Amino acid sequence: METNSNAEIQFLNIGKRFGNVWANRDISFSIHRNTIHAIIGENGAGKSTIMKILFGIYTADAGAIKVNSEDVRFSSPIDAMKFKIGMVHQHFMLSPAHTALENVLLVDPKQNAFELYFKKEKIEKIKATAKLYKFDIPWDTPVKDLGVGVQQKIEILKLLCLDNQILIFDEPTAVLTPHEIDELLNQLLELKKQGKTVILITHKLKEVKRIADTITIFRKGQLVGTYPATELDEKEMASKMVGKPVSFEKRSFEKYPDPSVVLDLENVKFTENNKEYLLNFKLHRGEILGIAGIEGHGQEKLIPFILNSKRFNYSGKITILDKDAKSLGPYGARDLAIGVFPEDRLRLGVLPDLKAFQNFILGYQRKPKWFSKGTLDWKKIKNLTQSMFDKFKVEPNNINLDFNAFSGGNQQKIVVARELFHDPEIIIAAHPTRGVDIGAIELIHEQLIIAQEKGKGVLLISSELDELLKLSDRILVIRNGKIIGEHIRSGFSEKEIGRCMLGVVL
Amino acid sequence: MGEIDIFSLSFILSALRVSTPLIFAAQAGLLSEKSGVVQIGLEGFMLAGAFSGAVFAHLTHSSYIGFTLAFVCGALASLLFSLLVVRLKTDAIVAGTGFNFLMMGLIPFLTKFIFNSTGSTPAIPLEQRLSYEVTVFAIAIVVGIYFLISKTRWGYWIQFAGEYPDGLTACGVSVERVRWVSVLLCGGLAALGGASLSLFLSSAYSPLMTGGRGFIALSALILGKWKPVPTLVGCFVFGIFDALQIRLQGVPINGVIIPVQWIQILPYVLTIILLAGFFGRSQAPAFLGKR
Repeated sequence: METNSNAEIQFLNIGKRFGNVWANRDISFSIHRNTIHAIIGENGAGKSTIMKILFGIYTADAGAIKVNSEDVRFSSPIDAMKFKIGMVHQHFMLSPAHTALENVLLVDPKQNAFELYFKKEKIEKIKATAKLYKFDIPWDTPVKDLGVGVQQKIEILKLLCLDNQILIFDEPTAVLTPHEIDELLNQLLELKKQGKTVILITHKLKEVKRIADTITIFRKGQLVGTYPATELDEKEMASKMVGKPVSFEKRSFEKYPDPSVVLDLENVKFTENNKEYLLNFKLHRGEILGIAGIEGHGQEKLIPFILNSKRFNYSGKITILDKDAKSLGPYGARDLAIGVFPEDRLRLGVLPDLKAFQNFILGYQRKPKWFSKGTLDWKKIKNLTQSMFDKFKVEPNNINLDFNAFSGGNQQKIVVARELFHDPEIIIAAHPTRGVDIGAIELIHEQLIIAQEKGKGVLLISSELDELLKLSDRILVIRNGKIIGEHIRSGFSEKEIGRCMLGVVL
Repeated sequence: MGEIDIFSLSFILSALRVSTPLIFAAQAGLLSEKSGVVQIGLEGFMLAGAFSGAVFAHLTHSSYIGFTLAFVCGALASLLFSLLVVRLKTDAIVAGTGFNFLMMGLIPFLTKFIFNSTGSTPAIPLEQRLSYEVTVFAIAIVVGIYFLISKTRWGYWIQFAGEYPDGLTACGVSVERVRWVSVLLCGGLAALGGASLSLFLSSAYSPLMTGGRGFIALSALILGKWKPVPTLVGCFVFGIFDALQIRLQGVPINGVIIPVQWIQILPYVLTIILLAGFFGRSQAPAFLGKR
């Protein structure tokens, strides 16, 4: 790579190793001042790693970084911040117990210990910034009660409140609605207009194409190349990321003509935190029913609700596979043939510190099939885990690793493999491809379609409208805890669904 | 039959007196635990404070100087604890327990060395004993800590260090430094609790005089759900039962004299009952004790 004198940031032969795996190997490229620089690659390609090195979360094992031609070596984000580098993380840096406002207030360039925390002018400035970027944030709600989308906005807002020159965004749009993404992308362009340098880590090629000036592509820890955005189209980007040609075909659609209902919510009403929920829908055999909606509008309640895991007090009736859910209780519901991909797989789906094969029986650990002579039959569990690892092409193909050691896409593959292993009649998939790379997305989508074709009922909760449009037979829009619109596949319109999500009545 | 009127002034004063060491120690524990450092070493800090307070009061003939130097000694002792737990990331429970044992052993060694006695320090003259100003000071500390924790930026650093340290780091604040300072103040404050035992509740240091008060303070902290004012209330509850226990000793109830030992266990039994009943671990700082 050429060394350029106007480069704001230069990476010179950066290398980073975890154990004996190179997460980054011999990476050299430059980022120019006042550009939008996209860094793309599949999960585990090393694009987040290199940015974490720049931000001082990791230290490089080899190579050097120059910021404004000055050699730097950051050993913590505190060092990076002195060079006006800020980062929005993929995993939010928010305290769940504190309110949105308290979390934003923590960001402060001076960090004076003895000042009052709630300064009026500071709060006003934060709220003005939020307004400027059209972020609608419930300031006094603890973060743990907010949806992931809102949390992300808070996270982005924190960065915007600091006067940073270099802004790193790690997959910022993964949880936003199309409308919100639109706005965010416009804001990124606005930031560029104001002279900032924006680094965008993503695997959404559409966004890259729309706003990026320069694109750097990573594959398997190595640099593929850096290109002006005008030189590549989406297909070429994808091929360079994956290392082989990629096709973007849509699902060949065939509605399964089975009218029988596997999941039925009849006038289900309940109130939580003074918010009313009203759910009314049927899931048929052989259909993929999409649930669209802005994050935090009630879709996050669906799984705990259907599985009765929090014992909500509701009126109305839920019927799962011809059984009344109320009488089942959480254990009873879990024993039914339901596969669940929870929205936050690390928190709700697995025990990240346990081995992969131990996680493979989680949620099903009471099934007699795992036992022999009254104890868990680990040999059998390992064998079956291995067979599913092979089938789902989990990388690294080692069932003895800690769950934590896998990349996001592979973690999700393990969860999907586990849930599908028991041949469920109903599959509830919440944001199944969030933070997952292209290869894994294809695999997960394929599995959902196979399930649909086999006549299972699939409930797909997603904030990715593209995903919903690609897979669903019907899309229901949820807003303020209520189902407000039904869209049939033949009449899908991205615009109309987007408007419906925002509550804009035509 | 002796009268036990729990609304009498003398009973209230007595309850306030015995609450005082607990108030210091519980607020000390609050600072440490809010910042994410499990504080099982309160007992040790209290012992250090009780001892150093009595020694310096004796040497300088001023209880005020003794009281102040107890804070300094407690804070200095906390450096060892912080080195182990904050810097070297030792398990805080193990380090705290070890720290308590260290103080139990170190103090008799020092009394032998300084006073050639078997454990107690020489008593200070009665007129030098501290009075209820210590209690007032303790309550002022509670107000101060409430203000610090919930109103100042520093307080929010402490909260975030306990709730989500990575978020604090991402904002450019060193979690480790926040914890060092919290534990330093914790050591000093808990030592003041100890010094109020040896200079206010009595007039000398006697071996193991804290009698588990460090742990009772910890219980008050848990009962108070890691909040300064409810923790103060928790300390009063234990103080009232302690005062009651003192009053009940040797007093026949319906003509039966209950053995002293049975009455003395009252505060401890209460600790167990209250903790079993109200134990709200979910209220604890999310990252308390995680490394």
